[in-house]
Amino acid sequence: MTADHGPASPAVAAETPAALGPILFARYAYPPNSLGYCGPSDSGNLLEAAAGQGDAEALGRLAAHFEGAWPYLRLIAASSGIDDPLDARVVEAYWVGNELVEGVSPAALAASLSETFRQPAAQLLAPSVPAGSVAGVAQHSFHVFAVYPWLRMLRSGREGPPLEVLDRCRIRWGAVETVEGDTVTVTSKGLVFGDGHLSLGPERTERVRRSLDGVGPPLDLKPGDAVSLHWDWVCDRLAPPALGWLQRCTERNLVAVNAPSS
Amino acid sequence: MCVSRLHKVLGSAETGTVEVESVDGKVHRVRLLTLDGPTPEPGEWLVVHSGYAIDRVDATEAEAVAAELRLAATE
Repeated sequence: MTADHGPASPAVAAETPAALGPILFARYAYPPNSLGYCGPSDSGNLLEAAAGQGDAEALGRLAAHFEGAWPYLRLIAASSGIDDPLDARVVEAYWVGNELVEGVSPAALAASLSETFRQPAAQLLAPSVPAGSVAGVAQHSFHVFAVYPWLRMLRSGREGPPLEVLDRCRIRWGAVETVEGDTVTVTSKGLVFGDGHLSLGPERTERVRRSLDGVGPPLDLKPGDAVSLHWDWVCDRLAPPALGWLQRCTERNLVAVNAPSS
Repeated sequence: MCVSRLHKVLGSAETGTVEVESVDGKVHRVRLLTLDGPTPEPGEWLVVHSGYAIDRVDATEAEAVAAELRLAATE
């Protein structure tokens, strides 16, 4: 992790440097992959990898097949002069945000999107990106808010699933209330939609997973801890600087997609 | 993060869902809440995102893209 950012989490920090990035990647990639929404369907036990019990080298090879995340990891790495897209600093920048995202210019982000969606298959499966949204920051929420079809569906009047998917798929943050077995109760702010704009709503309480039959990232969670959430899972414990980055990147990308041109 | 994927309809499942097969041969169940029109028939192709069918795709175009994706997976 970067010097002014603090360690990502005690469990990841205990690993060898080469394993840090793949483990961090697995923590955030596991929830949607387990639902069949992204990445290879034969990913093996990504949860064990997220728990630090897997083969980091194999996981590194697998990450390149996560067709949504991989282009962003490559872009952030290239913009930062880092060779390895699975360098922990790059992985953290993509999922949570850190200073590396500031190195990705709007032009580079636009060019990456254009290249990613150049293939016929991608053109069929990925709708066009609103030009104004390229002003966003190359953190995960950019793709969720600006490239996914769901915000356009909301704006066309379709309620329900689109807002739920946007909210669950973005990396959100929460505060731990209770920890019981595999389950954690957290308070978090959900997305709301009104007058064509997407924004954060009031706090709510939600129950999420931290493990499955005891297997999961060993985060040693306590009430009051700030955590990152993806779908219905806790991904990591966030130090204050990381929490701040996640909040700022989310807000900047909300501003980008709420701009009149988007 | 999630991406849109092509799936071929195998048949109806519980209310509001259909059983589909992905390009790489995995069988899933997807929800139809975000798909306009009648319940898709077996053999139709759908664009699926995050567990929801969001669009229908012409079979010829879908078959061509599926072939491209299968080829890419072997490279």
